[in-house]
Amino acid sequence: MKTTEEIKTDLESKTGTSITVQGEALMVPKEKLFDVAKYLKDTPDYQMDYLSSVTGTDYKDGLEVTYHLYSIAKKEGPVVLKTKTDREKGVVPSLTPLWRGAEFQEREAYDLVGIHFEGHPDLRRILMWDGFEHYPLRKDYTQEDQDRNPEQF
Amino acid sequence: MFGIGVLKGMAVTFKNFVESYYKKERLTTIEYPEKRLAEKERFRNFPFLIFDEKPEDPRCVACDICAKECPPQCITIVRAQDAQGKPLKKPATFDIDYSICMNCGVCEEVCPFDAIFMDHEFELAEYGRFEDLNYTIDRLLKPKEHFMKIRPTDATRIEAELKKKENAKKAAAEKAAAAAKAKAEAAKTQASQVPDTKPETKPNEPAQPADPPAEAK
Amino acid sequence: MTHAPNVSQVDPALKSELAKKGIAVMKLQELYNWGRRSSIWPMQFGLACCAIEMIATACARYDIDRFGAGLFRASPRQSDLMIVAGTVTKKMAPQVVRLYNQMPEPKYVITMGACSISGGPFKEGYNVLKGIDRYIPVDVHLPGCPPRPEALLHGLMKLQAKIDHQDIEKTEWYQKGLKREFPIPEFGPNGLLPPYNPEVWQPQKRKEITVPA
Repeated sequence: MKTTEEIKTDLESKTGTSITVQGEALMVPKEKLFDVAKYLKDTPDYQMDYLSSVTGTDYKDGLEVTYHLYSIAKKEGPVVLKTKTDREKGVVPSLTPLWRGAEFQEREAYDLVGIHFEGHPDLRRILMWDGFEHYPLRKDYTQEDQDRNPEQF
Repeated sequence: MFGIGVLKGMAVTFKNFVESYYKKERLTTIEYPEKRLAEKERFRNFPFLIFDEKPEDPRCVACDICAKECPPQCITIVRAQDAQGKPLKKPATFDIDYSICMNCGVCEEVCPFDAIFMDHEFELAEYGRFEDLNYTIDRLLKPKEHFMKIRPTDATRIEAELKKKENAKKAAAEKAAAAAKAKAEAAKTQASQVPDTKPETKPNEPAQPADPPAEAK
Repeated sequence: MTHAPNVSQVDPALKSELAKKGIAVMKLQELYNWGRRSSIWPMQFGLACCAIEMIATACARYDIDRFGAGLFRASPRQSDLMIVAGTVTKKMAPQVVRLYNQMPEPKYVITMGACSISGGPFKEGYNVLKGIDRYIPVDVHLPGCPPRPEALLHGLMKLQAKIDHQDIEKTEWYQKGLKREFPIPEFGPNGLLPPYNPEVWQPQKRKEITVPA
C-alpha cells in the first residue's frame, strides 16, 4: 500500500492535476475528479473497486465532498479524496457511472448539504420529503420550531 | 429427505411442550404485577436527588454541571438566593423533565458532590404529559437510606469517601486552629518581651530614621 | 380480575350472599367495561427501539397475553389500541395520523418511550416530531428509554383503570354525528403544516421560574 505522498506524486504525473495533501486526504480540484477516480479504479496498481462512503460537509469557505475508496481485490485502502466547491451553485461531477454505490450517497449529500452532482441519473431528495426547501445540515439552517439557540451546537 | 428441517423443529417444540407439564424451568413467565424479578443493583433508570438529614438542605449546591452535561437537556436549575440577593449553595428549583430523560446516567457520573443518582423506579406511567411528567424538587428528593437500600455497594463506597473527606476537612481545620493559636501565643510572648528590649532600641532609633533617607537617596 | 382495583358499586355483602347461590351481580357498566378492558387488542406499530421492548413484552417472560392484549392486529380497522413505540419523524407523522383515523371507536393511544412523548433524546433533530401528542390525543404516557416490559404492563394497567372508569351513559363514541377525524398534517417547506393541532395540544410556555423569596 503506497503512502499518501506516493499516491499524490503518482496521480499528479499520470493525470496532470495539482493535488494537495490534507492530513490523510488528497484534495483534488473538481474538474479532474472524474479522471482521478477513473485512474484509481482502472489501473491494476490500485484497483479501487469499492467506494465505501461519500459525505458532504459545510465549511466556512464552501462545501466539501469526501470519498473513501477501498480495494477488495488487493485488500488495500482507504484512499481518501476530497473536492471543494462553493456554496451558491455547488456542482461536482458525479461518480455514479464508475461505482453504483455512489448513487444513494450522492442523493444524501444533495438532500442534506445541497451539492448538485452533474451526471447523476436520478438526483432527488432521499431523506426529507420532496417539497422541503432547505438543506438541514448546513450551519445556517434553523428549524421552524427551534427549541435551543443554534449557536449552542 | 425433503422437509427434514421442519420435522426437526417440530420435534423440539413437541419436546418442550410435553416437558412444560413437569419441568419447572420450562415455565419462564414472571407474572407481573404479583411477582417481580429481583432487582439488579446496577439497574439504571430515572435520577433522584439525595439529602442527608433534612429535605430542606439537599447535597446539591446548584452548580449546574449536570444541567450542562445532560445530552437532551432535560434538567433546569435555578439557584436560591437569600434575603439580600446573595446566591446560596442550594437550588431553589430543580426540574427534570421525565418525558425527555433518556436514562443515560451522565448526570450521576459528572456530579462532583455525589448529589444525584439513578433510581430503580420504573412504574411511572402517567395520564398527563405536562402536569405529571415534569418532576420538581419535592418529588425528586429522597433520603440517603433509600440510596443505601437500592444500591448498597455504591452507597457504602460513597459514604466512606464522604466520611474521609469530612475527616480530612476536620483535621485541616483543627491544624489551622492550632496554628492560629500558636501564632497568637507567639505574638503575645513577643509583646510581653518588648518592654525588656526597649532601652536597647533607643540608641538604634536615631539610626533608624537616618537609614531610610540614606536608602532613599 | 385480580389485576385491577375493585370498582364495583354493588354492596359486597349482597354480592357474596348471591354468589353462594350461584348468581353473579354487577352493574351493566361494569360488565361492559370489564369486557372492553380485558381484551384490548393493540395494533402492530413499532417504529424504533421501543418496538423491541414491546416485542419482549409479548414474549414468554413478561406475557402480555395474560392481560388479554396478546393479539397484535396488523390492520388498524381491527384494533382498539395503538402503542406508538419509537421516534416519530416528521415524514412519518401524517401516516400515523392517517392510521389513527382508520381505527374504529373506542380507541386509545399509549405513547411508549421518551421519543414519542416529546421527541426524547433527538428532539433537536431536523426530522423529528417533538411528540405525537401534537396531532392525536394520547391517553397514557410511558416515560423511559426504553421503558422496561414491566413498565409497559404497568402503563397498560393504568389504561385499564381508565377504561374501568368510563361512563356507559356518556359514551362518546355512540353519539350522533360523531366525527373523530383528526386532520392530517401536510409537508411544508420547512416542517409540517400545521405545526400542531390546536384542539389537541397547546404549546406550553416554559413556566416563569420565580425564585421564592
